[in-house]
Amino acid sequence: MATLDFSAALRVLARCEVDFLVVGGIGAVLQSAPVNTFDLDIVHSTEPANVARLLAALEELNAYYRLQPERRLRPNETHLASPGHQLLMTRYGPVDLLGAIGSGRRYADLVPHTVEMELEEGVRVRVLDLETLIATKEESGREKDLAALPVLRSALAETRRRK
Amino acid sequence: MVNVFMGMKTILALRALFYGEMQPEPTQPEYDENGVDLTLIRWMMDMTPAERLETLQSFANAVLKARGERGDS
Repeated sequence: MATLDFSAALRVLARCEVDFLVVGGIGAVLQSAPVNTFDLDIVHSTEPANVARLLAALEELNAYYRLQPERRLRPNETHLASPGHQLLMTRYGPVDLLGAIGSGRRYADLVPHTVEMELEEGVRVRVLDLETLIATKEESGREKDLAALPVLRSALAETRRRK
Repeated sequence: MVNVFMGMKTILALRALFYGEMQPEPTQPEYDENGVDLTLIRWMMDMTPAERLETLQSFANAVLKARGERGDS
């Protein structure tokens, strides 16, 4: 596996003007939750113009499906327009493109529940806020997601306390 | 003229300090009711988002390197 560099992956997505938001473990970490993860989870807009920009970014990231790495299968427009999950390997590490999360919430549903962060000059990313991240994990009901809830709830409480 | 009058509370506090009996007063809990380490959350809150991401990446890369799964570049 290549050295993980999620900052670089986010930089490429931002430079290609992809409409996306960061969810999952990295979304939690960006909001001070002390969790660990080895992949970057994003929810992207499935609008045709955005899918085209996303494909260009994935080309630059040398993205291919992790399931059969030896075949180097690449996602196409149809894959990216679907609400399904595309589990990819890139030059900067694993990236999961999620068409929908929780109870089927898609990009347009989630955008109002995001915070914008500047990671470096010119690289601004939208991150799903902790309240909604917690809600989507509760909706999914999977053991993996439920296990993360105590830390996420505590991070939310501490953030509110400090405000 | 220096006023050296001290109340009993002050005298006891100074005595405790002198004899090393004084303990720091807990200001914030270290853990919440679920056992979550709140000191880690506060530590991360003091960082910028970019620093938080860098901390995560460093940890993940260290784990991968220890497993022998990382090709250093």
